[in-house]
Amino acid sequence: MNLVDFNVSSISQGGNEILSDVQFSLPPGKSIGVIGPSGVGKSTILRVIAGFHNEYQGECKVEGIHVSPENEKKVRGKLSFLFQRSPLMEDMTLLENLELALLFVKIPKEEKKESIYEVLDRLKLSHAMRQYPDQLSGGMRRRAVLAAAILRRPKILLCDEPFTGQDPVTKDDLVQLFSLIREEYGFSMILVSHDVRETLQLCDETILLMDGKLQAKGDKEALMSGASDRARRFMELGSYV
Amino acid sequence: MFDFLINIFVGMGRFIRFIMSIMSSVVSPYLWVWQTVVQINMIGVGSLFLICIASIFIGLVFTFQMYMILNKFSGLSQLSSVVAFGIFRELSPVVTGLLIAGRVGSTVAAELSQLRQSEQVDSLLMWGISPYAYLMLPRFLAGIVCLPVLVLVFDAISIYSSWAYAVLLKGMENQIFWNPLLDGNVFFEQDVLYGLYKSMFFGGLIISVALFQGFYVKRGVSGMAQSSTKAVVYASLGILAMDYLLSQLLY
Amino acid sequence: MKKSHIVDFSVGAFFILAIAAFFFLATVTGRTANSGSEGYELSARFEDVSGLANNSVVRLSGVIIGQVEDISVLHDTYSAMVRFRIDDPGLKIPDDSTIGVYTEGILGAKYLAIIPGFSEEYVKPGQEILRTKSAVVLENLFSKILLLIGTEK
Repeated sequence: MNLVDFNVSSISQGGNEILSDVQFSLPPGKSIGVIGPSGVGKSTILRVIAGFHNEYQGECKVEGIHVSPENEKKVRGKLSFLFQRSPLMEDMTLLENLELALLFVKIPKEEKKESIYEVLDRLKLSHAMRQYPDQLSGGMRRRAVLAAAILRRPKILLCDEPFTGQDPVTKDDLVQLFSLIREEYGFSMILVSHDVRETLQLCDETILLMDGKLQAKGDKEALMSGASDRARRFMELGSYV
Repeated sequence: MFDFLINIFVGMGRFIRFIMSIMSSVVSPYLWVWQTVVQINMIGVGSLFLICIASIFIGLVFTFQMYMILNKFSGLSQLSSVVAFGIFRELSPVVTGLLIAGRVGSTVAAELSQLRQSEQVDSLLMWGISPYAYLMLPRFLAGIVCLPVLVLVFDAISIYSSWAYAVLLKGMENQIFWNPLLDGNVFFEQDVLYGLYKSMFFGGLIISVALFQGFYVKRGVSGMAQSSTKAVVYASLGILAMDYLLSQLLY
Repeated sequence: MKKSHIVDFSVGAFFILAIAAFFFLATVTGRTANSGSEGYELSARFEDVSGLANNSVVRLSGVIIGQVEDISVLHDTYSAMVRFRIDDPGLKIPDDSTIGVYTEGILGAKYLAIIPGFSEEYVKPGQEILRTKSAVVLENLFSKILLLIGTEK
């Protein structure tokens, strides 16, 4: 069974249609990239899957469960969201934030502690766990957000532009660390980004969205051949930065 | 015009549903108990200084005014009870409410819209934590608890500053100042407690309006600015209107 | 000190302050008796009770012993019927006592004052005090004075 089946004929926001006819599915262990220019509605796809956005027609299933307000809790239990901004509470230390993330996971306290320390260790954040989010540097902050996202060992990770806004070196470090973590934790993911290179590098299959619809699907060649002129230009400019 | 009316009704309905959601989240106390204490610290303790200063000046200016008027009618023996009556029943809850609407209402609205815009609310939802229980209820409860406390402090300090004006500055007899209060012109159960009841409503109103405006914030910085402005304006107008209704009801 | 300790400390101090303010206000202001639960009710009829109101106090030798509960007009004699409560059930009022409406200072609040008599019989709860003195209405007093001045000339 596919982890995510996304079969939506139209997504709208505030009454205006922003995307139409988007279909894809995420098999276990795979990763899908969603690329396209800013404002095309890439993030909205993730928000539909997580049940935050209800203005759409069609169906969206997570492990065979329909995403709807009644199933919200069940669906969200399987997912984790790697947010574009920082979802960490500013008035709590990193450690307290991670404890909050595990509040509703029914495992003994010792195990919680252990898994927090393990994740912090893996992401090289152990020294910063008693610091507040605003004391962390940009790269550390991104790692902290990643820690909060993978802490619950989700099957599916929804990543919303996780590396945007970092300098090239930090970004490269983050991408490498991210691939390592992914191998180790073995989650499937949907990565939303406008960075073509990074997406092609990290994902098995990529979807190109542009001008309100799905332009092409597949690997790099498929994307280049199947797309309109404007989309091809986007790909070319994006690939050789 | 018709749309405008419909919008008001829809907004009111959403607001009431919002308050209901907040109240119904009482069922998970481990989420809100400690946060409520933290919020009491923010809302109540944080406003104490402001309330102290305001109450000193309100006490002084109101006593000055009443002193002038009562002096004309040679009724100075009733000075303290007139001052206390006005302050305990009306001035203290309303002024405290307006000041807190300015200080706390705007902060809470900005906080909530910030949490909302930087996806913290979504992140709580992903972790299975209700933002109603974790973010809203603590602030709401803290507002209801803190306002009466601040009003009590306001009452006590303003009556002392009134005493300072009359006795220290104007040379009134100490006993003549205190006696009318005790002698059954101002009643603790009525005048002081009515002020406290009122202020509880004001506290709930200020915080719920601010939370509502913050939670349904529009995108962008201008959305945040709008929501905190609206929080203060609506809460202030609400306090004045509610004060009239409650005064009629409680007198 | 840990952050949570600081929060606990300041919130604790906040509420202690609140309790202090509560007791301060409770001691400097007057008290309404918890009506209905204790004490007993008496009544008296007056020609004029101008200025008297519900919750006006009742004094005996200057001490507050109760308050007015209800003021109404009698349909037959048009005099004012005042029901008032004595808070202390053990305090017995002789049945030849006089009750009057007095003013605190010239413009102060009106109150009822009981001047105890010498009888061995006491007014029973619900009964009426028969000897009454009406309120002194300033306007009436002035007009009387003016009249006096007028006749002397």
